[in-house]
Amino acid sequence: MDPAAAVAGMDDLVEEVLLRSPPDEPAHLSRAALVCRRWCRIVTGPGFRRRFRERHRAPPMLGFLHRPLPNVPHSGAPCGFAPTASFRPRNADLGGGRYALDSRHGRVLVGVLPSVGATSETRLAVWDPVTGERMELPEPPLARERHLFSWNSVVLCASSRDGACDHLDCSRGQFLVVVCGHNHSVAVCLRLLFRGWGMDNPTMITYLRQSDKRAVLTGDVIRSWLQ
Amino acid sequence: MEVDKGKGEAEETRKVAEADRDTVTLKSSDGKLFEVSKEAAARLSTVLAGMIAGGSIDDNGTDLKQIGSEALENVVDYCNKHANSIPSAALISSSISFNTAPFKEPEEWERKFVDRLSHDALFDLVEAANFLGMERLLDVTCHKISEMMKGKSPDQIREVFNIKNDYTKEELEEIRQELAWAFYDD
Repeated sequence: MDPAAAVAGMDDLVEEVLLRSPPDEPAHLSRAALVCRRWCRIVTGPGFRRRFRERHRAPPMLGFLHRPLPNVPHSGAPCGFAPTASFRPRNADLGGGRYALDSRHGRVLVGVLPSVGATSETRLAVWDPVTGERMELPEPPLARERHLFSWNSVVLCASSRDGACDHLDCSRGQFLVVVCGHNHSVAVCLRLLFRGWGMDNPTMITYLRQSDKRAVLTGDVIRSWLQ
Repeated sequence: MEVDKGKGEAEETRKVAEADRDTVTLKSSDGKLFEVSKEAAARLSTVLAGMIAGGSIDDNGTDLKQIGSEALENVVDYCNKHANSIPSAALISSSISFNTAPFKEPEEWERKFVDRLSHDALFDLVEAANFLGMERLLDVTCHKISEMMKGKSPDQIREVFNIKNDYTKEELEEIRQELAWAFYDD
């Protein structure tokens, strides 16, 4: 038998070869997936992403998300992704007036820019730039708190709080969106839990209202972000 | 009883003699014999290390029926070259927990070693390294194959591996459109 064909027919050896694909050239793996169905199954199979990340450790820079300065809506390009490699995100049209607000572990939070004294409308959505999926979020009830000084929002892996996740393969799992706003005397914090992509409405797990903005307790990750 | 005892002693003597030698003899599927440093073989191959520790090394040539003489010659060559090169700290640590260790770039001599191999010899060596549990050699050879795929289209990769395309034309077109960025420079 042809030696190359013999290797190509052994799943574990094909995986060993594909695990050594250059991480800063994602086109390499995309093309490998198009070689045949079996190779596609190996690349997209359970655990491949984790093993790939373990092998290459620090993820490569594929590009960066940018947005205008707060309160200066026209200070940035309308497109929110500037590529530094061959990768191009899918479904990158975020909808008029929306920008990337936050990004972690493969998910991007988009919405209108939070700005001082401005509207409390957020138009939040979570976007996966690789698959192009986008989940529109329900409008958080920030308008209840009048005269909000400012608000901001983050997207987190749902397991972040316990340190239970190494984030090597969690981009398809549960995630949290936290929206916080404050004026001079009140801080509000809203946490929304999503059970993964393609699920129905998120569960609103807490809606906190505190009189002292520095005393909002929503776990270590959020607390450090607030301070 | 007497006979058994004598046989046991002879076995013991043979094992001691074996342990004293600093090389082991390996026999390819086509019957050729190769000498390799015992220390390097035990360090670089989990399978050979197990055989040496378990005393199942044969003085007249340990049978490796799955490996042809050309591939075995390359395995032995790699072991001997490795024995002569100073192993870097990186290599030592990667052999401890290979499966989760971050990938280490091949060293200069390892790169030259795989670069001089023919196409068939490279793939034969990957199989041999896999069979013998030679993690570093597998690392180096798989890295070389991955480099060979660099910048190649799916068609060209299929040619390298002699693989049949089992996608339909429509499926390929659909995926290519979804991942258009991955095919810009075709």
